[in-house]
Amino acid sequence: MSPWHRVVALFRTLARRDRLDRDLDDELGAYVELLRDEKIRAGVPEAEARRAALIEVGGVEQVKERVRDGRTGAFLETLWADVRYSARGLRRAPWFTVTAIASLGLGIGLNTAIFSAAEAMLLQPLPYRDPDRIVRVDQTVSAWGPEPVGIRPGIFEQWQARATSFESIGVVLNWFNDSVIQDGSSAERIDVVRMSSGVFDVLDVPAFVGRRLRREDDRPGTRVAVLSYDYWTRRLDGDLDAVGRTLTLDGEPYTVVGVMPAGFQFYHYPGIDRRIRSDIYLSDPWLLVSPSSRWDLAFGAIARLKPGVTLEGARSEIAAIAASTDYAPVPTELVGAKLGGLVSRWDVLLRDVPTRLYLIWGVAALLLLLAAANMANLQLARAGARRMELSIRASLGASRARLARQLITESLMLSLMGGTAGLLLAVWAGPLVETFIPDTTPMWRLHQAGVNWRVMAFMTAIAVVAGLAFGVVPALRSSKADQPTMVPSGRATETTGAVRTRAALMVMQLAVSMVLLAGAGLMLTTLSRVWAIPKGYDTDGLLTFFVRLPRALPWVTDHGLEHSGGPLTATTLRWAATPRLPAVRRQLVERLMMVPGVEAATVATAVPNVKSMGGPFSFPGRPEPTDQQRGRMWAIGVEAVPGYFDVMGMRLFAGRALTPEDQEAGRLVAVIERRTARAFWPHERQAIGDRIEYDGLTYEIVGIANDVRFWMWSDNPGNVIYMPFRTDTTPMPFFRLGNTLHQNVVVRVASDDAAVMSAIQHAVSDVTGGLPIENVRSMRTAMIDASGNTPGITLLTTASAVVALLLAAVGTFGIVSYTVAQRTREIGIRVALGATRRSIVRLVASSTMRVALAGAAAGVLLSLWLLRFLSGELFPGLSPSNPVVLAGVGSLLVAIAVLAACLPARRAADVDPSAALRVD
Amino acid sequence: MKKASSRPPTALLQGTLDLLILKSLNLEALHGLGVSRRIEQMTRGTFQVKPGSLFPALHRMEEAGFLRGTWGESESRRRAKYYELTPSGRRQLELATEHWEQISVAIAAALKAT
Repeated sequence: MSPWHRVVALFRTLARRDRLDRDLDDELGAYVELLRDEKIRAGVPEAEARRAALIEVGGVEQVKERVRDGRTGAFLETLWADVRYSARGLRRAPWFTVTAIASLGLGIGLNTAIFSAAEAMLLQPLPYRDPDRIVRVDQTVSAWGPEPVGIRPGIFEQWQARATSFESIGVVLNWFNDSVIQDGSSAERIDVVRMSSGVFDVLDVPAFVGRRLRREDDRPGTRVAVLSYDYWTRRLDGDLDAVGRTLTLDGEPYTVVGVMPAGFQFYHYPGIDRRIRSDIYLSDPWLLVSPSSRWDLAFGAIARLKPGVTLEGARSEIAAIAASTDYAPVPTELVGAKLGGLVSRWDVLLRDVPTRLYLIWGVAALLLLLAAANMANLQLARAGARRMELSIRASLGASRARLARQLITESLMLSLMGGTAGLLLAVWAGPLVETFIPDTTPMWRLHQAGVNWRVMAFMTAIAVVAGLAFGVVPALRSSKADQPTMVPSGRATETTGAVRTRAALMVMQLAVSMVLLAGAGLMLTTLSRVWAIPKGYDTDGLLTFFVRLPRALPWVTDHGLEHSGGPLTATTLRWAATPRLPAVRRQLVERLMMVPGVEAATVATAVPNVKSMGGPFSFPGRPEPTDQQRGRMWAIGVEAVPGYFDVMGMRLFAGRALTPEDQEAGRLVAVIERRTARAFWPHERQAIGDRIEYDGLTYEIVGIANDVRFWMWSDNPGNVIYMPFRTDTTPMPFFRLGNTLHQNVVVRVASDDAAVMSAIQHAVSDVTGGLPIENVRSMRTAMIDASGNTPGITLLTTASAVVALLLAAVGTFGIVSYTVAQRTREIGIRVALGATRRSIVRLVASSTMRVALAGAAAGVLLSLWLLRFLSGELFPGLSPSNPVVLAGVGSLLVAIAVLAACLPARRAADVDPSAALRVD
Repeated sequence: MKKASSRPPTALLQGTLDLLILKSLNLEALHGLGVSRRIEQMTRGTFQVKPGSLFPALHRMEEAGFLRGTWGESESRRRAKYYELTPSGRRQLELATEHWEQISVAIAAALKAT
């Protein structure tokens, strides 16, 4: 057929369908009449001629159907008819439709949300020019493992001078990402990146307003800032005159030279909290360290490969340079360099993505599987109930394929509607997915996750696959009903094949439910075991938050830290002998105690469940530790204001606590824990009076405190050493400087209502000149947060277990209802023969019980296989194959299934035998 | 939608049926029953075309532009749809006839070969 004829034919089929059908009716009518005339001429009596003609034709409707099927575009036409027909059918079964859309929506939605997160990280290109040419230049120290470490400024300069593979190379300060910006009397904490101009050259994104950093801005002491689009619009209302304005950052004036375009974001180094979104890019990364300094591993480098230079070529060049660089004091042979992608793509997914993401993906996949199995079962049961309808359609000329196609269309419609619901869910659940991924996992672009065409395509694809998965088997099974003989009787009982298919589907559904239930059971057990650990302090009414005292606030630099002149670097920055910082802490505590509702307050460098630094300790003058002891010689040092123990509700075991006099006199005294004393002295109390060395200082042990569980979620309880705040004048490495300015505050309140919270914020502002309090949490919340995401995983698995249980109940109910309806006649006979109500219920329940037990048994096997992936999330020592949990959830599942079966069973038992026998 | 299983080998028969329909309409326009009877007569009763095959074929060829359908009156004064060959239908008949002759010669030769 020529293309032109095709188009005309298609138009005719679609637009003039009614006319065509009318003509066809007339034509066939004429055929019958002509045939009748012929018969009459042949001598058939007039009364019988028409009947004979009709018999010869066969089925007029079948002929019409075949003509219609042969038309061009008939596919579209029947599709549309199927869609309308299915829509009518679904409207007539609202409960079925709602259950289907909800369960499919949940399964598809969760999968789509995860896909959208993965898509943002893996498939969207980085917002830089030729991002594939950008590499990270990492330094490794073999003694410290394969993870890259920061590079020293001096080393960077050697690399920059010698490497020829790079078009440009830049350096960024990995630490000090927070600053305080002051505007008159108010202060706001913001995220900054200190970088050399080379970083902008490497990324090569033009400025939106003004300019980027330039070479001359790299000179030490140049104070120039480039704003992010977000900060510019949020704080400066997108004012074009912002360029040229002066901002006061950490007490120093910076001139704004430009604004980067919307969507530009520099993704920090691996391991840095990905929630940090840079507000301002600052010049002079050397600010805090002199370029000649050799001991600060504070910088990261990125570079752009020259055109024509391969990654391999650059790699071998940088390795050669690294091998001939002087790394003193670290021996050169320990140090290596390697190139990596700026933000690696698939290798992120394959290597760095935590098992946790796989875990939630697994849960989502199981949920979808469950929803599909449930749907298949419901469709089968429904199709069984629609047997009469299908038979009638078959006798009206619908072929088996036609019936199957309609049923599959219906399934696809359901799954696409579910998919649409799922898409809405995905939009809502997107941020939820993010919370399941640890903040330091390098998935920088997660916040860009959203719905785009790839996500839509993914949703559609899984919806179609799911729709086919649960639609095809029921469609093939039930379309068999096209024997016209079934119309008059309708009595046909089900084939054993159909019964078996349904039982198998149900066993599968229950088995998958069981995995989710067992996962939830294990997570809940984990949580309860964690809560049961003795914590060693009183969490009731305990709140923690922190205040970051910016390095450059005048009263900190002028008094708390002493600046010896010259560029402000770690070597020129020393603790002042006349400390102002302790005074700030004292004021904080005193002012907080005045807040109504606050019962006690304290400040410390570290508090339980808040990330803190630790270090090794030793006992000068004590015998050499055994190997076993050596493994435990690591402790978190808690520098605290006196009264810390009382506020925390901790108990002293022996000796004395730290006093205000210890702090004022600068005494080097410490309190250690019972577990430390027990591990290193024959008798715990003997520790008192001995000395302990920690972080470069030697303390006298004056007391022993009862053990505190600093980290709830770690197998190793660790050691804690309590000491007064340090007032020594040794040069401070960066991390100590950061630690010291970071004030962890703990208050005990009668109730943590909003009024108390805002009063606390005011009190802190009074003392610090407007600084915000950050990360306010109850100690219980902190404990939960510190677990990574154990409660999140628990919530997820528990929620999916509840859904699984619901689906199992709905599925069982639907199937048993259907089976009972099928067996109405049989049950009627049984009742007529004297079966009691009880025996009928037992009959139905016991067959369900058999299927449920099989499902639970399959579920146990499936759980044993799948739940090992959960073992990383479980309480140490809790096995994923814990028999109590498996037995518990197994019984729960069987009980729910049997309960769900009882309702239709009881209805069956109420059958009136005479009515039942008349059913057919 | 093809329903191969429920019918005799259609691949061969469809071409044959189309050819027979074209041939039956070579001399005059006929209605459906007329086509059916004419084919019976031409093939001396070997092919009895049932409406289930006839009408889909007629409509398919009408769509393809080989036939033109017009409403007319039958010998028994009934309104019926008459089919006639279009110019492209005549060309198709020539092509199909030629094609068929080649096949039948080839098959006859094949069957005679020892």
